Amino acid sequence: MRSWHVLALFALSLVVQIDGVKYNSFESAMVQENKKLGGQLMRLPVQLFMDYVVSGKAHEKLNVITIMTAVGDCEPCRDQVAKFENSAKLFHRLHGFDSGFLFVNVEIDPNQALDGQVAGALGLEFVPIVYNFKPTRGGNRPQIRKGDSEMLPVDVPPDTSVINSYIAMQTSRVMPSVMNGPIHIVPILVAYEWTIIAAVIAVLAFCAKRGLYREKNFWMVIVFIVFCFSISGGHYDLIQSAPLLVFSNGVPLPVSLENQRNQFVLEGLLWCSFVGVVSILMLSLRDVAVQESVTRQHVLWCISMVATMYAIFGITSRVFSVKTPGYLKYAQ
Amino acid sequence: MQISIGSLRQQEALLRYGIIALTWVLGFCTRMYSVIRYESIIHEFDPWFNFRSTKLLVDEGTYEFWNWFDDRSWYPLGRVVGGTVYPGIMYTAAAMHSLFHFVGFKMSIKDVCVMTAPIWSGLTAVSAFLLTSEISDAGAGLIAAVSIALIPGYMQRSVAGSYDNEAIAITLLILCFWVFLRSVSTGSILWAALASLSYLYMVSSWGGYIFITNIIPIYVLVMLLAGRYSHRLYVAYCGWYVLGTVLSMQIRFVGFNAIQSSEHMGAMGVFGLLNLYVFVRWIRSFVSESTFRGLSQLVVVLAISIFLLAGFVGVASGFIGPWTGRFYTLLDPTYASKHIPIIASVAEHQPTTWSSYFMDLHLFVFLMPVGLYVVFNNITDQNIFIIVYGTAAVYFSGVMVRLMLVLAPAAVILGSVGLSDFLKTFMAVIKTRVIDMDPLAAEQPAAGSSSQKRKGKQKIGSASTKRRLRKEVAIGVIGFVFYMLSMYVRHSVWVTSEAYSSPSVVLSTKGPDGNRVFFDDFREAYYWLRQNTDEDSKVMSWWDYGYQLAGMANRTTIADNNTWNNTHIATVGRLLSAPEDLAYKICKKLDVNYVLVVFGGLLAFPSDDVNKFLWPVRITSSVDPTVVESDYLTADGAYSVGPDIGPALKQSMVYKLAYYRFAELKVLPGKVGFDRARNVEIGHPDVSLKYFEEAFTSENWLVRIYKVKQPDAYGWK
Repeated sequence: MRSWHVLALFALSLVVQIDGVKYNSFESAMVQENKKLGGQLMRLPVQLFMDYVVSGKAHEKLNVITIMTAVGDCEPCRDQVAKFENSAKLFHRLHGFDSGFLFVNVEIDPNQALDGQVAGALGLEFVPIVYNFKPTRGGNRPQIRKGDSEMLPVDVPPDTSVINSYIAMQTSRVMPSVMNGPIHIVPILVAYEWTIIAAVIAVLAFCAKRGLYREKNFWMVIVFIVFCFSISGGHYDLIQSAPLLVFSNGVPLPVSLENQRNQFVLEGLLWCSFVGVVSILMLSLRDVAVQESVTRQHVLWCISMVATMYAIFGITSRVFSVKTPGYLKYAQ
Repeated sequence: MQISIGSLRQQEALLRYGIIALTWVLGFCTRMYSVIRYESIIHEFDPWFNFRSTKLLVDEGTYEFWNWFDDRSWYPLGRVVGGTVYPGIMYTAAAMHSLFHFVGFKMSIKDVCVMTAPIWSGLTAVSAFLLTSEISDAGAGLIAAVSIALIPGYMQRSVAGSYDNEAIAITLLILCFWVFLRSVSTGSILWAALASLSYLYMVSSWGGYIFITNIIPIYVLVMLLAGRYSHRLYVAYCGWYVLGTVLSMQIRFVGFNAIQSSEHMGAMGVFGLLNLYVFVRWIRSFVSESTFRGLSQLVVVLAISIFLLAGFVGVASGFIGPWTGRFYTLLDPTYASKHIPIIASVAEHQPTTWSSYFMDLHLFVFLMPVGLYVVFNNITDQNIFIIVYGTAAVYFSGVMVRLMLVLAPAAVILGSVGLSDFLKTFMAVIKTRVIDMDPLAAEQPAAGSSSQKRKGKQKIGSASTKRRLRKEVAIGVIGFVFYMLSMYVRHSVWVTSEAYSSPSVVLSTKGPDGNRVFFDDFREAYYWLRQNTDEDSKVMSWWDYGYQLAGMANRTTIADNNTWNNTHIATVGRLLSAPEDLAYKICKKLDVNYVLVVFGGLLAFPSDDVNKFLWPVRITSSVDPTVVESDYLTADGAYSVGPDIGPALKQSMVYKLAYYRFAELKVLPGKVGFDRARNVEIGHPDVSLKYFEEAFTSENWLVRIYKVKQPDAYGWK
């Protein structure tokens, strides 16, 4: 297989991963306006906000993430709006303008009757605050109701990582994961399923070129990979917890949220490691027995394998706050 | 008098058969927990249909069975049972029933059905012994026999009362593989014919026969690619394929699918390829190398062209049927969840979590890679087969939890091969020591010179030091392995008794004093229907309960677990998800007299209709686009029956029928209508009904039955 074949496969895999979003006419206009602004924060008048966002017309398919601020001299509002704007720009640079998210700013004047009406409808008690007006999916919701909007976390500034995490959770394409640490391999695997498949095909082509298919050890490795993938619940993770890895400042960031399904991902990895270590230990013991003598190195190696296995479980449960289920404890 | 105990070989055979016989007893007894803890009862859902069919077969005879049109299911469509059923298990139970009566055991057909799976578990152990012996040796075979008798992955479908196809199909799967491997080993047409017969039995018993239909061709393909073609392989495969296909077509449910459906095309393709390969080899013996190259290129191009053309014409003309949804799901695990909600909704079609592997295979998850390593180090025709089988089974088991059943034998066989090799290695260490410690061997150096004596002493001295260490290690390792095996037995027995012996029809829990408390609401409700409703009454429920309703209540159902008509099921889903007036119209169109819902709010039973409800909605929306899932969700996109309940859910029949009068109960002090299954106080406790009236509610409110009101001559009053 030539190199351009591999590139074409990668390109195809990336194309397959792109999901299209179809907007209504008003939403399209908003997105176009946003493009013209180059990702700068759109400032919506309250009337327009009331007519289109609160009524649901502007977010049949779009998530309208709105930072509510107060007119006049509001120092925290200015700070937060600046941060929010930076986040919006960065977000659009990373994800483009057709990502299904729109960032707007609405300034509320408590002295105006209409503004008071909006504040009342949203249950607004303080500013600045960030709301997401979730897609109504074409449903007819003439009046705003509790739950149509959602308040983002207010105890942290609305920087890119928080917004990215939130967006990822809302699109349900990210794994809200306990693995908000250095282990990024699983979300990457799951998020880039097609790319991985293309990469596997490329590797297989490489193996064919090198004649590895005639090696039985090559096939043994393939079989063990299939075994490990299956027993670690890989299919379950792909189907039930398919994530989208989001990038914050170029760093891949899965979202941290306690979730039983995502717990399975990490547990599956640990379980697979455990099975692998035990199997290796057994085979090592067997090989040692076949040989003439038991050397000190062999014994030390076996002890170190067991210690490593124990350490993996111990450290993981401490560092990542994994709730080790009963059976895993038993195995440990 | 001197008693001859026979040769070592006879003793070995005696020991072997003794172990297998004891394994049979062990497997049978362990599967009796369900009878001991509950009673001799048919379990779950599908077994009720199998029991009903078997009873008809025994009572009415085989012609009535084949011609049976069941007008009591899928009303008003009905079901041609004889042509839509795998009859193997029915004929097996009927034959066992006749046999028992012939030898004087007057067992009822129900008890025979209950005991079928435990009895067959012994045959599974025998089959596993034979297959593992074929792959490795009798020692590994014995380990496999004992292990498969206890492995929870197989136990879950073979406890007493689990009268489902898998009860006999796993035995037949292993048997078919063994007989096929025997034919590969011997090149005998007789064994190939026997493989076809066992394949016929398998096809008549379970839809999972398709696994055999594809694994054997894959194995043959791998053998060809690995350069291990032999005439034995040719005879075995062609014999099996031709005879097996013709025989499998005799099963009405399969019929021409055996040569027309996409699932069978792989086997046909490999059959063609194998013959082409043999033909090319034959031509090669007549022509020169250069001519052969030209010819072979021509043949390959021609063959590929013909194959593609035939495939295109076959698919385009509809002669070759498409893959079934389940098959697509195996290849693309996300397929069902995206496109076929009826498949995705079934619990046993869900992907498998890692914990299921531990629960169902336990020690054999660890031993399986060891076995793979061992067979890879000693490649034979038989070992290649178990590698192919094991790899496919472990992958498919990850896609569908149900296929853990197919993996269990592969894991046991590979694990047993690995364990046997492991134990033999360490046993050899101990045996070697015994031979080395022979006093003659120790005395031998004494005959030589003094220098030789010194060397000999040094050698013995150093060797004994090494042997002592090795013996200790070997004994320690073997002891640990036996400890782990004892843990495996303990785990298997525990899982069987606690998790896999529940019949689903009767629920149980442990009370505060540790005693078991039973909830018999399902049977209570079904018997109420049987005794208090007209014999031709039509009862509507979600399809899960169709087989039980027909089996226990003997009433006509609208949909059942056969799930052959998605549109009809969607109609039932529409009724459950619709407001009362629309639901009433659907009831009148379908002549429904009673509607049955399962409600776990009082008993904290999580698998009730309220929790399942999103699946009916999804299935309905796949047929009727006016039904939108998000309308049944809260504004936050959650599924809740609390105060924030979705508007459509509040109006739906499921909500109304489940929670009607529920607020009258004082489940928790100070709470009105507290649902224990969902741990929430229901948002709208004031449920009223216009077109339906409550007919029966079981003791623990688990089953609620409503009568559809009939309008009088003047309209509603």
